[in-house]
Amino acid sequence: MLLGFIALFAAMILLLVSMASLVLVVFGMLPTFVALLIDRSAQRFAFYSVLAMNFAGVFPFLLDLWMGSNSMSMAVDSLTDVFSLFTMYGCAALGWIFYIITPPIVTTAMTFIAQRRVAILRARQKKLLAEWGEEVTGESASVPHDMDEEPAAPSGEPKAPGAAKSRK
Amino acid sequence: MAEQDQGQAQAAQQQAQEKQKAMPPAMLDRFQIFPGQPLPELSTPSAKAYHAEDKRNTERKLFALIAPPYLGARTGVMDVLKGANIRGAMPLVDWGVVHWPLMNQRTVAVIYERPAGGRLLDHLGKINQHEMVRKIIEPICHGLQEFATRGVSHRQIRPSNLYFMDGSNDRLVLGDCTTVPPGYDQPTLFETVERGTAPPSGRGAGDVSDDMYALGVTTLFALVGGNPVPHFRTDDDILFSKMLDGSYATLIGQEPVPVNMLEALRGMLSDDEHERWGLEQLDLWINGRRLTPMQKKAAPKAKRPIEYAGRDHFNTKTLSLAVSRMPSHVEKLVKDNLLETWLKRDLENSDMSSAASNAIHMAQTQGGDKDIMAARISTILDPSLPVRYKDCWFMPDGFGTAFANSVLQKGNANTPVEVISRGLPRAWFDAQDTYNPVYVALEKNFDQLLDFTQDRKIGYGVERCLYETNPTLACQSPILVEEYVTTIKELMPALERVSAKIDKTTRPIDRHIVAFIAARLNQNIDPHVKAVGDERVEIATLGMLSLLALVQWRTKSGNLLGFTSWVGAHMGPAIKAFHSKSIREELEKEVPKLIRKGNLADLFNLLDNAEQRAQDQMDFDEASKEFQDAENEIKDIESGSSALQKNSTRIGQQAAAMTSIVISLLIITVTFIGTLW
Repeated sequence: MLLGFIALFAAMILLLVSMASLVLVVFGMLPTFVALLIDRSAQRFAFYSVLAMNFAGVFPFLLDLWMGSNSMSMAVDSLTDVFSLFTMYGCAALGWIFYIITPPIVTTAMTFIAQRRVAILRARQKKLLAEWGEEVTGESASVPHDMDEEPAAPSGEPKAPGAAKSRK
Repeated sequence: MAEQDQGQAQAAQQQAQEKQKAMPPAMLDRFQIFPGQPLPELSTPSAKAYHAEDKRNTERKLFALIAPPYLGARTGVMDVLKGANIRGAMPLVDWGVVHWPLMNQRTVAVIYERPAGGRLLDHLGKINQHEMVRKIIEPICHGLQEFATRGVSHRQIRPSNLYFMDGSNDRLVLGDCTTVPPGYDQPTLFETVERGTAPPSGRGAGDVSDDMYALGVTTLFALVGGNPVPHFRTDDDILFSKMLDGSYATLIGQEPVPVNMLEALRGMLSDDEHERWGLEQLDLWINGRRLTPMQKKAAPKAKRPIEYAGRDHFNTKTLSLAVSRMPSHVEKLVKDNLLETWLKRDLENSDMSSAASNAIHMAQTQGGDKDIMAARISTILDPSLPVRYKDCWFMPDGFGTAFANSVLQKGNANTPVEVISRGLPRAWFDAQDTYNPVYVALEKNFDQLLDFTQDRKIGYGVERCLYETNPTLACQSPILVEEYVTTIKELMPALERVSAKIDKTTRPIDRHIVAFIAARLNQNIDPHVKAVGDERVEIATLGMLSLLALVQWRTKSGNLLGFTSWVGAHMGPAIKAFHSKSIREELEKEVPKLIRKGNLADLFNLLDNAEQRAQDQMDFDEASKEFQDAENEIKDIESGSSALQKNSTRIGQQAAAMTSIVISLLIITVTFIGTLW
C-alpha cells in the first residue's frame, strides 16, 4: 500500500513536471510493475532487486530527456529504440538474475562454514576422548570423592583413602 | 580276603610310621621336635606329645606338645609360665609356632621338661592315705597358688594330667594347661555342675574355684583308686545326680573315705561357689587348722512333681536341664500356664513363676518357636547353668570358644549369631541374682558383638565376632590358615611367605584377614575397614592398600617385596579411577618402581594423592562440559540444516536486493556525473 502511494506521488510529480518523463518511466519500468505483481512476499526482495536495476537502466535515458528537449517525441524515440529498450529491460533482467542466483550462493557458503565448524568440534571431541576416555561423554557417572575423614593418627601413618594427607 | 585286607592295612600303617620316622625335626629356636618319635604317655586328649631335644644340651629331657591349630591355644598363659619354674607345675621351657609336617601347617608347639615318674593316673590307689596330703594336695595347692599370683587358672586338673617329675614319685606337678581352651579336655566329672553342663568348647575360662573342685575330684580318685562313680554311664547321669544329691554326696557315695579327708573333700566339692574352699582355706587345712565347710542347701523340692519328656522333676535344676536337652516338649509346659502354676503352687515360688511368665511372653514376641521358648524358660529355671540354645551351650565367659567350635568345626555360624541377636546372653545376665563385676564387662562385650553381627560388610559380621571373642585364635583365612597367624605382628611376614607360592590373581585380603586385622590391631581402623567394604571398586582397592600399609607401618614389618608385588597386581581399579589417560600412564610407570621398594605406604601415597585426584576431577569436569557443549553445537548445526537452508535463502534474497540497489546507485551516480562533466 505504501509503495502504491509512493509510486502515485512520484507519478503526480512527474506528470506536473514532465509528461515525457512519465511516459518514459511508465513504459521503461514495466518489468518492475510485473515484479511488483509477481512478488507477494512480505519483504518484496525480488521487487526491490528488479526496481533498483530497472531504474538504473532507465535513468540514463531519463537524464538525456531532462538534459535535452524534454519532449514527448524524444521519449517515444527512446522507447522505440531497441538498444534503449534492451538496456532498460536488460538491467531489469539482471535484477531478476541477482535475485535468483544469490540465495544458492549464500546457502552454499553458509553450509560450508557450518560443516567446517562441525569438523573443528569433532576434532576437539576426539582429543578429549583420547585424554579422558569414554567417561567424558557423560554416559557413565563420574566417581565422587566424598570419603569421611579418619580419626587423628600419628604423622607418617597411612590414612584411609580420601583422608587429608596432613593436618598441620 | 579279610586277612589280605588286614595285611595291607598293617603294611600301609607301617609304611606311614616309617615315613613319619624319616621326617626331619621341626625347629623351634634351639629346640628340635621329632615328628617320628611320638610319646603317647605324655599326650593329652587334644595335643599330641613328641620327643624334643635342646641343641645346646642334648642331655636335657624334654618333650613337646603340639597344639591343635583349630582351637585357640592359651598363648598368654604360655608367656606367663615360660621359664617361671613354678614348683608344683611342669616346667614350660619354651613355646612358639612351628611348621608341623604331620599336619602340613604351622601350629603352636610347647616344650616341657619331661616328667620321669609318669602320670598320677598310673599310680591311683598306690599312694598311702597318710601321704595323700603331702604327695598330692600340698604340691598341687602350691602350684595353684603360684598360678593365682600370676592371675592364671589351670582348668585341666585331672589324674591323667598330673605328673611325677621324679622317679621316686615324690614331686607331683600340674600338667599342661595351655594347648587347649580352659576345661576343654576335662571330663564332665571334674567340672562343676554349671560348667560341666556346657560342652567342652563352652565351659569358659573359669577361675581358681573351678580348679579347687577339680582337685577335690582328683583327690577322691586317688583315695578310691579310680573312678568313684563308674556306674554313671552318661554325662547327664552325672549331672542329674549332682543336681539332685549334690556333688559331694554323688561322688563320695558309699566309698570308704578316711575321716581326715572328709572335711577337705566337702570343702572342695561344695556346689556353692561362694562356700567352696579357696586356696587359703586349703592351705590352712594343710597346716592343721580344722574348718567346717558349709554344704549348699539342696534345691527346693516341689510338693508334687512336674512331668517333662517322660520324667518327673521335683526341682527346677533338673527340669531346666531337661527342657534344654529336649526342647520339643516345651509346648506342654507353656500350655494352660502349667509351668507357672507348678512354680507357684507346688514350689511356692511366686517370683520365679512371674519371671517364667515374662520369659514365655518374651519368647512369644520373638516368634515363639520351641528353641527360643526352651532357652528362655530354662534360663529362668536355673540361671546358674550355661546359656543354652539349640546346640550352642556356653557359659558367658566361654562364648568365644563355643562360637569358634560351632563355626570352624560344625560349619554353623547361624546358631551362635541367633543367640546374640535374640538377646539370650542378656536374658542370662538379667536372671542372675548376685552382682558380679565380671558380668558387667561380659554383657558389654555381647552388646558389641550384636553390633558386629548386624553389619554384614567385610571387616564385621561372623568373622569379626570370631576374632573379637577368641584373642588367640589363628587367622582362618584360606590364604593364611596353614601359616597359623595368631598375632598382628605375624601377619605381614606370613603374607610375604604366602606371596611366594600363591597365584597372584588371588585377592590379598578376604573377610577373615580384614576382621582379624580389625580385631587384633589395637586402634580404631573403622575408616580403613569401611573403605575396604565400599561398593565402588576403586575405593575398595585403595581401602585394601591403606589397611595393609597401616599394618605394615604399625608392625614395623620392613620391606615386603613379594607381598607388595602381589598387592600391586591388584591396583588396576585404583589407577583406573584417575580420569586422565596421561596420569594413568604415568602411574603405571611409577607403580613397578615402588613395588621394587617393598613399601605399601609409598604405593598408597602415590595412588591416593588427594590434590592430584581433586585436580584430575576438576579437569575431567571441565573436559566433560567442553565435550557436551561441542556435542550440543554439532547437534544444533546438524538438526538445523533445513532452518539454515531457509535462513540462507532469505539472506540471499536480501543480499540480492541490496546488491541491486548498490549497483543501481553506482550506475546512477556515474551516469549523472558523466553527463554533467
